[in-house]
This record gives sequence, structure tokens and C-alpha cells, in this order.
Amino acid sequence: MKRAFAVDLALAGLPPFRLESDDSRWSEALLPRYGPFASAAPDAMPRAGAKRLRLRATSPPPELSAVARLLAEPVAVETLPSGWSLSTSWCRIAFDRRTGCGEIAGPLHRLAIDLALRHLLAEELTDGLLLHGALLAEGERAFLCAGPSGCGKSTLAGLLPEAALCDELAVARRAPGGGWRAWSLPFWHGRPGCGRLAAIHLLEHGPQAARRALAPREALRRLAPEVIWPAHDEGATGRALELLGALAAEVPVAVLAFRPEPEVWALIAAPATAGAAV
Amino acid sequence: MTGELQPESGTTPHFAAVRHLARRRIEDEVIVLDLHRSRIYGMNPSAGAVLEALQRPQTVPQIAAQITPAGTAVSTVCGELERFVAELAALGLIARCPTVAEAEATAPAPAIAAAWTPPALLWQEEVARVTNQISPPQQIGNPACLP
Repeated sequence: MKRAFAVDLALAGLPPFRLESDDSRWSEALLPRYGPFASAAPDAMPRAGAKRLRLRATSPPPELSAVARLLAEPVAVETLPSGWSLSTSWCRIAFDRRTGCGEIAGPLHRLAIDLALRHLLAEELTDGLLLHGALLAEGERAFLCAGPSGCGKSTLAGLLPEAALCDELAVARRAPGGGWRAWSLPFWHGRPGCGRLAAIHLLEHGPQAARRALAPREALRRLAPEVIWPAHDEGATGRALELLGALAAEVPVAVLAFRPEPEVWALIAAPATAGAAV
Repeated sequence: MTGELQPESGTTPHFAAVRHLARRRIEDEVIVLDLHRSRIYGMNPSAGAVLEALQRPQTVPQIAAQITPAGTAVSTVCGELERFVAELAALGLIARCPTVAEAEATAPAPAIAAAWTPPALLWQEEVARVTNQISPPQQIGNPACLP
């Protein structure tokens, strides 16, 4: 049956995430964020491994002024016999791992879809991590610039428009031939892109641009708060912990102090060596 | 098997690690992730051995008997273990167990330590869970990231 709204999202090189609904208004609600990562879904079932999320609008879009309040609400996570559910006062998301299908019921807005996709990505990444950072790239090289809210991720992305791929969340995955690859995501603003993960920078504000390489142990400690950990799958959590150890040892990690000036790019893109603290 | 019950009066308390922890040895540290409390910890190998022993309910003397290396006084290890077990319990990484009989029935085979170093928590950080909203959505349109 032809759906009024059906798109396949290509995220982080994973099998597609299909969003579908009988309500065509979802197109206007979602495509400003997800459009660059979306393609019109074919009528056929998605390919093996694809995830399918049915959308149901239970209320009109929230007022812009209410969004921050909704986001601040705690999310109740429940493990179901073959999947999980997430609940707030404004949405409910249920996903069945066995069938790869789920339902999102919430306001006609991207909020609940953002929440569901973050959760799915963290769980589905068997060879990688979901990280809180902006992704920048030049040619085949990608640079993850991570850090807590307010550290300058969006500022940096805005300063470097040619290099910026996204400004909030990105994925790092082990590459089949060795090393790591990084992928942009549509949070908060993004365009599709990926590259060999050449370095990770932990951002902080400073009086002048300066880079300080971290040894793997310190890198792991500093990166741990920037990982979006799988919430309730203990196997996935342990796997993510192992992957973080590998990432910290195999990819150069440095603290990058910077002022909001485009010249910081020279430090970001300068060659770095994994495990080399200075 | 873990619980919040207090041991009966006059018995040595038994402890066990809570079940939801993820734990991995990475280089020379044991990393412990507690997503229920949104914390991650780095510990030294002795601390990791204590947590390993506490995968089953144990008393402090039972743990000491397993991890005390030859040439080290068990009483010395017990004193340091008491302190560390109290620290783990305060962090919610271990809990007291309800019954002694259960503990005795499930005691693991002894582990061997090469040398004694007091167990220590080296660092801890707060972590995010996937359900957390990480940063507030930016209201600015970032032209760098738009197609």
C-alpha cells in the first residue's frame, strides 16, 4: 500500500531507517532536518537489516517556547520481551527488535523522531559509537570535534562552512580495512558525509588556539562523557565500552583550546599521531 | 541476587556487585560503567579484582582470601578492603546481600594476584545516556551544515 509519507534515511552507513505514515503532514515536519539524508522510499519492503518506524501524530506541533521544556522531561525506558519502549508525557516510542519495526506516537514534530533515532543508532552500532561532537572534513580526512554543550561545536561548524558536516552528533565506526571512519548525522544541522577519522579534538575555549595531545588513558576518560551510551542493552553497553578503549588508543585525541577564528582549522587539520601525548 | 536487606545481627556482611554494570579491562585500568547512575569509573587492577570477586556474594575476609598474594598479611589486605568495599557500596556499585547461605553456596574459585596493591578508584566522570537530551537545539541556522 502506498503511504502518504515514506522516506528512507541513510545514516552512518547502516541499513536504511524507514519513516512512514498515512499522514502527509510529516513531510513538512521532518524534511527540514532529515531531508538531506532522506530518499523517497520505494513501495517494496526495505532491504535486510532496515528499521521501519511508523509515525502517528497525536497532537499538533508544540509551540517553539515549549520545546525546551519538553526536552527536559525525563524519559522512561522500558525493556520489553523483544524490544524496548521510551515514554514521556508527550510521546511514546516502541520498537520490536525481532521484526525491526516500531511506532512513534507524538506531536507532529521532529522531537520524538530525534529521540527514537538517537536510541536506535546507539543500539545498532555494533562496530562503532555515537558521539557528541561536530564533524568536519577535508578530502578523505574527517575530524571529530567533541565536547559538552557550550564548548563551541556549533560555533566551530559555523566558522568553517566548507569543512562542516554536522554540529552536534556524529558516528565513529571501525573500518573494515583498519582504522576508523566518521559519519555525519542530521543533528542539529547536517549534510551527509564521511571520511577516515584522522583525529578527535576535545573542544574548550581558550585565549589562543592550542592543541595538546592526550595519551590513550586520558583520552578514554575525557571521551567517555561524550559517548551516547546504549541505555538498556547490557551487551551493547559492554561492546561500546570496548570500542571506546579501541578508539582512544587508535585515533589521535587532543584537547583543542580555541578562539572563534577560522585560523583554528590549521590546528584541527594538522597531522597527529595516535597515543602520542605531549 | 543483590539486595538492600541488612544482614542478620552478628553475621559478617556479604556484598555483591550490582548487575547492571559494564566492566572492561582497558590497558592498565579497569573501566566500570554504571548507566543507572550515569557514571563511569577508572580503577586500578586490584580494584578490578575485587569487583570480579564480587560477581558472587562474598564477605571481606572471603575476598581477601582470594586476592591476597603470598607474602602479604591477610589482615593488611582486609583493612584496605574494608575501606574500599565501603567506598564501592557508597557509590552504589555493590550492595549488601540478603542471606549468608546463598553466598556460601555460590562462592567462586579463588583468583590469584601477583602482587598486592591497595584497591583504588582512580577517576570518575558523569556520562550521558542515549535518552538524555545532550545540548539544547540550536535556534540559529548554521549555513555550514545546510546543503
